[in-house]
Amino acid sequence: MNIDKKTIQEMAFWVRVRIPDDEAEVMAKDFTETLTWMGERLKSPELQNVPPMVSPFDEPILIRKDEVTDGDKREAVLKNAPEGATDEFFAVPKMVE
Amino acid sequence: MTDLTNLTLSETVKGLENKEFSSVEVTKAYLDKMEQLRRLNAYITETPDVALKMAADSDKRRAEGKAGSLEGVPMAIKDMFCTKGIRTTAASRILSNFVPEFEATTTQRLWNAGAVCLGKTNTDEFAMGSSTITSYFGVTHNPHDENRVPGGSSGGSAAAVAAHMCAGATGTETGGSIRHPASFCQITGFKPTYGRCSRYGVIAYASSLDEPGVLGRSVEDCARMIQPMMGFDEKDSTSSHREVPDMLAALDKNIKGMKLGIPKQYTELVPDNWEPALEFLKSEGVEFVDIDMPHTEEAGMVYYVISQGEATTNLARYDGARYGVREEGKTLDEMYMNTRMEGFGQEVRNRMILGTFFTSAKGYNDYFVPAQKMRTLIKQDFDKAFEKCDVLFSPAVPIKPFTIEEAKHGAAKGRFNDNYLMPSCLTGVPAGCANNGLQVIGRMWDDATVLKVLQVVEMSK
Repeated sequence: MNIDKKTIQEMAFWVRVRIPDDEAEVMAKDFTETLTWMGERLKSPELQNVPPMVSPFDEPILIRKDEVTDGDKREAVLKNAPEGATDEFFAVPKMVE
Repeated sequence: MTDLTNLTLSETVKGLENKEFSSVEVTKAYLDKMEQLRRLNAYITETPDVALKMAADSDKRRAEGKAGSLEGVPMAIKDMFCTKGIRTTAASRILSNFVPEFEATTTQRLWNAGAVCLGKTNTDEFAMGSSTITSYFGVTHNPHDENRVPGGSSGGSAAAVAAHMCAGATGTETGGSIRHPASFCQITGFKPTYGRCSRYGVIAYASSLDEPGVLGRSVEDCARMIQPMMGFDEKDSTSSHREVPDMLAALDKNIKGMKLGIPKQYTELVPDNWEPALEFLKSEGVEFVDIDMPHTEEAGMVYYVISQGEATTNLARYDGARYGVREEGKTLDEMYMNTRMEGFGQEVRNRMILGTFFTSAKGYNDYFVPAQKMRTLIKQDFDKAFEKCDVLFSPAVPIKPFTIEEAKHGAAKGRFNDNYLMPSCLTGVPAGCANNGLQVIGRMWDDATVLKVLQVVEMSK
């Protein structure tokens, strides 16, 4: 598995952070090495027919009824809103002209 | 009066019960200690006003005969637990102004039991690390040698407990973050079985691994703190309905005839007190069983893939739109980008970038799912081991705390830093580190036996 600088920068964009060219270069090289090393171990024939372990939790996942049990807390929800929010709304940069 | 901060949490409980001192008195003693030792940087946020109010309320409840199991006991809370009305940062700039409007289930249960909140302790940013050097609020110093790190990520909690800046503290483990700093600070740390303690209100790092727990100056202290924190919570979909055992009652110091398994992969490097501890435990009547856990070596890799994949997903919510620090931009995308670039430290950003690969179609099929399969094999190692023994016994972290300078140059990446800790995080079994750096790992849901054995281990010094 070969990861180049461009792929690192794409992935950085997906998580909405920037990474300088020189750092992306180093990361690409290191990550390629790590993936190559891991790839060999994760291709172990031992893993065939082994189920993936998603969580240590062994009870049925709790599913509750789709009923409103909470809410009407506009003030609390907006309390930590960044600057620009009103009593009713969050504010973000304009998205349409 | 003697210095009240010299008492263990258990002695504090008894002293308060016998009305030898009040909660306000012991709380003031801890607040003084926090001020004297502020240079250690154990706390991100100190809450003296909240503490004194809670202590006064506690004294009132006791006078009315309504004392809880931790009534009046001053505690510190790792800054990964959301506390209503008290700033909660995850040691990140992005949450440096965040004041939750809700309370984590586990901390609420501590307050319900009567505990007093002294403040919020330092951690690696979003609990990603084992030294506290990635904290936006600066590194915590190890109280035993201030040039060294306290371990992590619950390093602030461990330092606060070791320096008597609190009677006990909460912590969280994802890859060893309670036992690691407990070992480095020579205190006791315990993480119960995954599902015992609700994760509601605990800032998420990697959801299938994150476990709340406690740090104290003895096993008995840890048992007292963890008891009220455990138990079913409808706000966490992976919270267990199983009945919670009485942890204190399990501490009978009688381990005669028990089988302690020693995994050969966990004794490649051992500290000086290892052999004397084996001799001591033998004199207590235990039997040692050799255990082979062949997939131990793979735990680091599995942890790397799963924790980064899950972290990327969990950290997507910090966008500057609804809470936390925002850095402005001309467009929405630019605002997201500026906020996340300035809000997260480099270690967190790097983990998110790589985590993106493991959650992409290619990375998921070729790495994430195979890593989950390997996780199954690691779990099977534990299942097979527990057919032969009652608990596993080994060193927790067989190396000495590294210096702050060494930590900045990647000392935490050394293999003996966490390879005895990670497998038990991946499998969710209960585990504790005694204040002499030796650990006990138990079967799923057998939390009480871990503490029972750990208490005797702690007697071996």
